[in-house]
Amino acid sequence: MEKTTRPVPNLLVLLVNGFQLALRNWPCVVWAYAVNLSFGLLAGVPLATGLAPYLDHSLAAQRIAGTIDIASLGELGTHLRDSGFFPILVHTSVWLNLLQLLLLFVLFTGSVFVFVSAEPPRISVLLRGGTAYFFRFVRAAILAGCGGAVVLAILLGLRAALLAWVDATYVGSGMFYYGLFSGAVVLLAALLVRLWWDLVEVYIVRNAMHGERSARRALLPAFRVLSRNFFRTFGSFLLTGATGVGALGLCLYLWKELVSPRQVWIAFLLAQAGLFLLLASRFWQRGLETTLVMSVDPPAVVEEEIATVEEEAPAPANAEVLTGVSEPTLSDPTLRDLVQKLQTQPWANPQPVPPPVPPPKLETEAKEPSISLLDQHAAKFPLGGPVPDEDTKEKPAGPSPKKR
Amino acid sequence: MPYPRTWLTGAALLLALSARGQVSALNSPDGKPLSQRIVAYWIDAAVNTDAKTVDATEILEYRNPSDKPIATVPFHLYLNAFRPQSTFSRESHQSYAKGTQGAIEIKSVSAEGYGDLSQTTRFTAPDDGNQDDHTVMEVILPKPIAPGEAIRFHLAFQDKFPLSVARNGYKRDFLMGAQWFPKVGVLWHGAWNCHQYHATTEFFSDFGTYNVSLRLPQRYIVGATGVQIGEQANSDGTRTLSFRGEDIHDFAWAASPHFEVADDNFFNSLGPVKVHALILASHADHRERYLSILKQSLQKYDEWYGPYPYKQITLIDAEPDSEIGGMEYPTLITAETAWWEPAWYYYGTEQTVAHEVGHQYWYGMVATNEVEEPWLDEGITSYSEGKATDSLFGRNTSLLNARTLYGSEAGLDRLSYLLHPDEDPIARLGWQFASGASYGSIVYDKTTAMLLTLEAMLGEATLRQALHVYFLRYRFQHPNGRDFLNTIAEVSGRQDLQPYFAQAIYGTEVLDYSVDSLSAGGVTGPYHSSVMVRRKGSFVFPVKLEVGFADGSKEQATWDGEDRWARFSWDKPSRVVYAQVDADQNVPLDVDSFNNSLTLRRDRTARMKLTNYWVFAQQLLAQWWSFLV
Repeated sequence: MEKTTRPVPNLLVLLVNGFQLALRNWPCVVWAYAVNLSFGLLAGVPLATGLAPYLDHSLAAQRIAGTIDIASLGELGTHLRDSGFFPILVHTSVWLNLLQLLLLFVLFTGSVFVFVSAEPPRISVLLRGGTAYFFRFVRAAILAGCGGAVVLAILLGLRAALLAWVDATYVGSGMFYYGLFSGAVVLLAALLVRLWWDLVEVYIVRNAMHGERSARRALLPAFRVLSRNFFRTFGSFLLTGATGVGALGLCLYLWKELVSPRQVWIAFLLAQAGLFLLLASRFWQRGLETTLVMSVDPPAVVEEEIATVEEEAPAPANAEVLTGVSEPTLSDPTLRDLVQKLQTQPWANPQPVPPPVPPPKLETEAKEPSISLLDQHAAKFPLGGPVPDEDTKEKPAGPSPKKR
Repeated sequence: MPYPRTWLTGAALLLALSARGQVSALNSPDGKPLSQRIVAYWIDAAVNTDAKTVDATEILEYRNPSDKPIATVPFHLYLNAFRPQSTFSRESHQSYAKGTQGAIEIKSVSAEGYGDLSQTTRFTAPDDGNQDDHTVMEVILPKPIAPGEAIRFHLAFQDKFPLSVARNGYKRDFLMGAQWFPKVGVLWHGAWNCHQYHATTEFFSDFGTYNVSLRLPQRYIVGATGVQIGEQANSDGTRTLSFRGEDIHDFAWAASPHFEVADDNFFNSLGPVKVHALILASHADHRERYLSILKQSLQKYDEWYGPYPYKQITLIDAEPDSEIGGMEYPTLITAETAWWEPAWYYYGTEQTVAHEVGHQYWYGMVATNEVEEPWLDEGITSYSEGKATDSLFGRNTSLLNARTLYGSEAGLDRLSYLLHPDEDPIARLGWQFASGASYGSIVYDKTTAMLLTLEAMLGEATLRQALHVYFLRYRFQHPNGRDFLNTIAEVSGRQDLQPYFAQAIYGTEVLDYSVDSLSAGGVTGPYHSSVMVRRKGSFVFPVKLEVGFADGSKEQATWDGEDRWARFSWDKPSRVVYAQVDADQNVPLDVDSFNNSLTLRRDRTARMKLTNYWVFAQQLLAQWWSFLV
């Protein structure tokens, strides 16, 4: 089957479409933030409990409630350290962080799945997708981590040598700027590794659509996409990240400048707003990565599925809808429609997705219970576990309308 | 490249210097010596700035100050501490990359009338028996020096400077000549006091005169102890600078081709004092800060304790990223600053300079034994420095004053003390502390807290007067801790201070008083209000209790603190709302200020505020980890 050549989206289109993709799947962001907030509050419980005996009835607490006396804060820290409560606080914090990290990993994995597969961003879908691709993403993390470690080790070694030479020659601000700029180079390299790794994860889900389960086979395509579209990809990645960090910084600045030292709730809300925006920017990054991969390298196997469904099912009356003419007839798009759209519609002028045409009911499926697209997808493109037998393989039912 | 010197040249130098009408380095009334001048040094040194070595000859005239003959004379060879086998390196776990070690090698030692003494010289280790530690060299004399008699040693030595360690050595092309020559020990209370160089100890030596010439490449600018008395250009591109110091007990110098000279004058009751600052070109914009705090500190100490009698004080702006910054030598201090340091941040430049200028009094003139009683110089100096910066920059904001945060130097000092409140007594011998961290916390910060608490007991003016008397009585001598404490008792007129000193200085008792309970009985007035105060620590100390009532009135009570607890009651028409011990926060030795008060009403603001910070930090950390993984 011939591959359709389409223009690669430019930086602005990547940013906009990535943002739209993340926005359409806003529950992904909300669920991740909810986990982040919940675990943060959980971690705060032991501290709040432990501080009560020291602060609630002490006049010395006023040196913290108002403008903070750093010596008093430090003294409080020494008392906590010496109390039996401190190990509990530390251990709780460590374990909660590890658990949260695990949950966020699953949610991010599930989000990538939702972004690529256009599945509804329900929590059940997120968790199922996240657990189904979990080990493949872990393998990707190890592979990317090893590669990144080699690159960063070389860069850090070069930086250390540079700084040793600078230390022998310069003092004062000169030394500082050499350190700053060389550090920035290493940071950019680290971010590039992270971007490549993100693309690997997108490719893992994309490749699974034609039965490819190996994480290793996602490495090279991701690298190819990145290298061929380097500036727009890295530029948009950096822009979105900087936006998130900038939003957090703005919230913290407002906290520092506008909020009275005793106004705890307003401070809490500002801090949470900043954290939410920072987290949302990460999903924006995932959105633009998915947009890029699916535009330059959509999964070919979905075209076969579309062809197979067309052979088996009688053509609907308004067949021209499938060819991309925008004549809405149904309320919900299907995966097939989206892929058709990707193949035929130019990205520069994204059109609204035409509502799908419901296929006529076949006699064979009249008595069968409806099977969700996820399960159909899972049957044809195994997400994990054993591949179903040929003999027991069910013919996929026609797509049924689904609600987002 | 070494510059060979002969004894003839050294003797000629000695003769030349003796023959001149000596330029005095003092503003001394009548030009009389201020100290006993037990030692006189003439050192002629050639500095190889490429190899970081010094080749030198030294003539030391030592006069037996005791009433007994002495048959051995020990010398400090401090630079030998920077070898892997030394006691200093073992205690500090210091490691040295190739070519970065330091050492001092004695080429020859003889004495006039005694001949060559090389064969009767040996290394000793009086503190820990480490025979590989060559920081003390003992010369055994064929015949003893009679009481009051003098001996003139001739030594030739070579220094190898280490790469910047413990305020010594070089960094880039900056050289710090500290503890760089063989220095005789102190005959104190009838015995030699010449300790090895330990990780946590400093120095102890006798007062005398120093005449030093340094030969370096012409591009180097040099700052040194004393005053410069001569300069001679040499044909090989070097120049020889001559310095003289009087009534001092050490000689240090620093050299860099990047110094810019900034001179000013300070006037005290004895006359003008030249303020001579050598500031690195990269810190040129900090010139006014350095000069200002230098003069302000001199002014404060002159007012409080007594006059600075030398004609010059030299400030060396230490090389960045070195271990050289922040050290005291007679009439010379090193300090450090940073190019980014904003003017409102006092904890770097200003705090360092105020501290080191304080050492001109407590170490430079009142020359206590820094090795055995480090608290007498470091602790009193830290206290003095805190008083100076408080008076200059504000008591509670001498460190930091921002919209959401503030901090004082006294507060940070106390915080440091709280990290090791009872690990060692203040009066512990300098090398016997549990750790370097304990040494720092106790010697500097617990001593400061002890003196501030004493100040609360005696009154600020009384303690200041006691320090003034102590300075005038013991300057240019070697007092000990008992001399200091007796002076305080004498000036304050208090004979009941002994229990306080016994616990605070010689013991490890912990001071902690708390308000244990607070109640107000009665539904309507009159209310029976009751407060229970408890002594939680082992340190007994009188406390003042303040109790506040709903109608705004306050009551005071005093407790001697002897028993474990005490209860106070009032019957008043208004109920009690709070009770507090040490309401004025004048007892920094109290290890827990949070239990010093109790309020009836609960206020969750501080707790929720800190919890908010913690929750934010946990969330940010998790997002960061999820970005990485």
